[in-house]
Amino acid sequence: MKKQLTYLGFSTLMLTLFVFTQASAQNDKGKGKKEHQKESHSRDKPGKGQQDNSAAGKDKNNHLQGNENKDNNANSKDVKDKKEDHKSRDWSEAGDRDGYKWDQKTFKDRNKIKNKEKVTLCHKPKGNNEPGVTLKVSSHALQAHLNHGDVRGECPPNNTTRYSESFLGKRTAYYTEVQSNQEQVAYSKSVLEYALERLSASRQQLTVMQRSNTPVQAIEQKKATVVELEQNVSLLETLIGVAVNVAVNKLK
Amino acid sequence: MMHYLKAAASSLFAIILLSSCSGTNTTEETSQISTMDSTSKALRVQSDKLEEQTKKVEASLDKMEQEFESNNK
Repeated sequence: MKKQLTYLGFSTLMLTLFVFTQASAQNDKGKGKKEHQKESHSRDKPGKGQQDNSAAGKDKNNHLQGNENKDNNANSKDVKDKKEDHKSRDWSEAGDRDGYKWDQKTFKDRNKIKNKEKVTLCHKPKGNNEPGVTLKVSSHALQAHLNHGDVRGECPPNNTTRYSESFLGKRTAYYTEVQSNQEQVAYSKSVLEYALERLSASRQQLTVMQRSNTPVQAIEQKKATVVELEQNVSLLETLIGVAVNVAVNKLK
Repeated sequence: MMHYLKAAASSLFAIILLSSCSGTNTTEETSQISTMDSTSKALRVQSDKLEEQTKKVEASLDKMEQEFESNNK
């Protein structure tokens, strides 16, 4: 009987140890994933774009500037935090660093410039031992990725059993979507910036036309074009703000 | 007999604990997948809207450019 009790006690002790080890591993894993998501999400929060908007807004009317300032104020804290926390590794801002800068000539060829071939790279999540994610990014965004340690080419095959295939597949799809969203936001911001410049120039032209002996019909036509652009620009700015907020809220 | 019963009970206990641990893992991953899915969807919707509106602005800019060029001819 005594021997049996000893055996039972030993078994229980071993089981407890085993359970404790398992629980710790689970906890670490969960914590690691959460940290990773948090980091990724923080990195996904737009920041530089807000500043880009601010720069672009200089040429815009008061209404548009008002919206812009509101967005800037709302997110200025995020921008500060992000700058401090993710100075060297802000991959998802790659879109903002795409370097689209339009003038009359390049804007005509924008489709060629925008649709440059995509580059495959291995994105390395920060902060834990998660395997890399193979992403295809705009060639404009490549340098920003390389700057924080991503490498060209596909990630090596994943040999770990720590994460299920389905999880890793979804994770890749998720990162791809985030990247795609960032690239779209960056492109839209660049178009907005260019549109604001053109709008400003067009307003000046309109004033000149009104002062000179330009036919009324031509002035009206110009006015209509300017108003149309103003409306589209205003809506685009709103949508950029919404997209940025969705990114901030959803990627918390 | 008692010895075998206790050994069997211990093994059963271990199996139950193991399955509960792997269940936690699956649940956690499922929850994360669900979050990633919903986030991806929201981002996709916003990207589509943004793309559409950007095209409108581009069209307006093209129109303005054409008018500018035709006025300068």
